Amino acid sequence: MSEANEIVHQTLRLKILTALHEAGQGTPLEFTRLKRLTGATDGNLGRHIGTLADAGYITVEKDFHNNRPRTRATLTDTGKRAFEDHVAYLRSLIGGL
Amino acid sequence: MRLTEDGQTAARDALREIELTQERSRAYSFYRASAPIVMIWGVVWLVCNIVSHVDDGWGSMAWTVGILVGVIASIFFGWRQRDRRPSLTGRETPGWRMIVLGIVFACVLIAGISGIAMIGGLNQLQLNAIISLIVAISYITAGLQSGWRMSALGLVVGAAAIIGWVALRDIYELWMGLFAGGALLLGGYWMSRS
Repeated sequence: MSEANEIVHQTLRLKILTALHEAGQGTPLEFTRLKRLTGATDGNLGRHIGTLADAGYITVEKDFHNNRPRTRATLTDTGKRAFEDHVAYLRSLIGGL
Repeated sequence: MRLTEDGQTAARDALREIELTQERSRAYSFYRASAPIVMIWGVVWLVCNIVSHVDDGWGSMAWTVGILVGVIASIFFGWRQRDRRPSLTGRETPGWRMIVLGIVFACVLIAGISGIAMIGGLNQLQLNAIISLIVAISYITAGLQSGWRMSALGLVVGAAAIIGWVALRDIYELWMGLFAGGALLLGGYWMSRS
């Protein structure tokens, strides 16, 4: 049976991983889009993106696009597995009672 | 881990958050996939209505070409979105949804036009108003399933058709070209920025 993953379980990180999982593995999402999808503030989103990147669940790429700084996040294989395992764990809790 | 009521509630809340974020992601993907299609129809409405306002004969020809271009472009952009976004989960992708939507939209349009032609007795202006309302209802319906911005756009187009018919009948086609066509162009841009 899957186990709880505290890194994934935090609400905003769960939303970030869901959005990246929906985009598809290897498909980056821009910081501004993640902000809209999760409803987070700049600071909060930046902090939690850092936590997920440190865990190896996402990669963060910073570059310039149309002369403007751009930050993009992409789900890694490890992140995809961790997210799916955690969702399976949550479902097992619901179905387990 | 021991399964408790609290654990179950927390799991339900977390799954609900996941579901809400998935719905929002899909709506935004739908907007982005729909944006070029909506903008193309905006151009078709803008050009064909203005041509119809200037000359009825040229207007019919413009609509024949415009609808053909719109349907082909809708299928093309829907197909392109499908190629860009392969499904990892086995779910239907927005691209496929767009293709289905385009085909349904074309069928509704053709059925509407055929039905009206069979009934007969309608002039070009009445035909234009009825088709505009069919399009508006299609957008509202698509939006109810996929994202409120599409419904909002349908409401604007529907309101434009009714206001134009009631208050601006002398310049109905010009009004629909500029206002409804413009609304589709701006609405498409709005969706592309989501």
